[in-house]
Amino acid sequence: MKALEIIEKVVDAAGVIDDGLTLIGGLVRRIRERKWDQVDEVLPVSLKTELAMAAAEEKARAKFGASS
Amino acid sequence: MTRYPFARMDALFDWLRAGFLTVVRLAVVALLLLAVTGVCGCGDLTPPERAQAALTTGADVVVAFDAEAAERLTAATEEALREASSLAEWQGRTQPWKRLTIALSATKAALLTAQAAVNVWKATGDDASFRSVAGCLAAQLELLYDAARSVDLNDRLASLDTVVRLAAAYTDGLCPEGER
Repeated sequence: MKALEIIEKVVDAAGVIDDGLTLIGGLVRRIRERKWDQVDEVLPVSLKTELAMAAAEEKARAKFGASS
Repeated sequence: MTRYPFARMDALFDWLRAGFLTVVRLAVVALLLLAVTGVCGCGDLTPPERAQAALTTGADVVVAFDAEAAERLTAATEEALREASSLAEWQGRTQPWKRLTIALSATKAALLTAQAAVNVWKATGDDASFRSVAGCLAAQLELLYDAARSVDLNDRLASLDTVVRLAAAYTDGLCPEGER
């Protein structure tokens, strides 16, 4: 395995750990503060996947244009 | 073939990740159970407040999952754009990601519907509508789980699976066809 691949995997693993800890940290805070927000206060108006998919489709249409 | 002193690093990282995810999953499950069953000093929570705790946690998990999925979706669709020779081919290659996007949008809608039902429960004391809607939320979360598995987001499924089980615990039965 190349050094760069190792670094990439370390960063990737750290991301997983960070996400997990953020999630647990948020849950602990909610339990401690007994603050359970309504779902509409937690969820964004537009999901990031929705925005990313829309942007990707726009790029694809721009690349292939009317020929497709 | 080049010999590398850390040739087994892949296996080590996989093992570390799997081990950590198990810990995360257990911790999330434990915290959810504490919150929802009231063992954690949350004993004064009413049943609708516990349902609210479960819904809020579910929304937290979906938001975290959405952020990671969006990054991977962008990378996957850009790679497909480089390799595809037509729009139809690109659409074919990215279809699983489109499915995941739709599943996430539908899950968001299901969570919002469940929230409205919890609000009715809080206001009237009648949990019938929430228990009915919870079946559809659980069914939708399972669709999201399947969509995530099809695009190889397996390392992010643990917390999602927990939310599926949590939603299922509130259901009285199956979601009627056509209501997902």
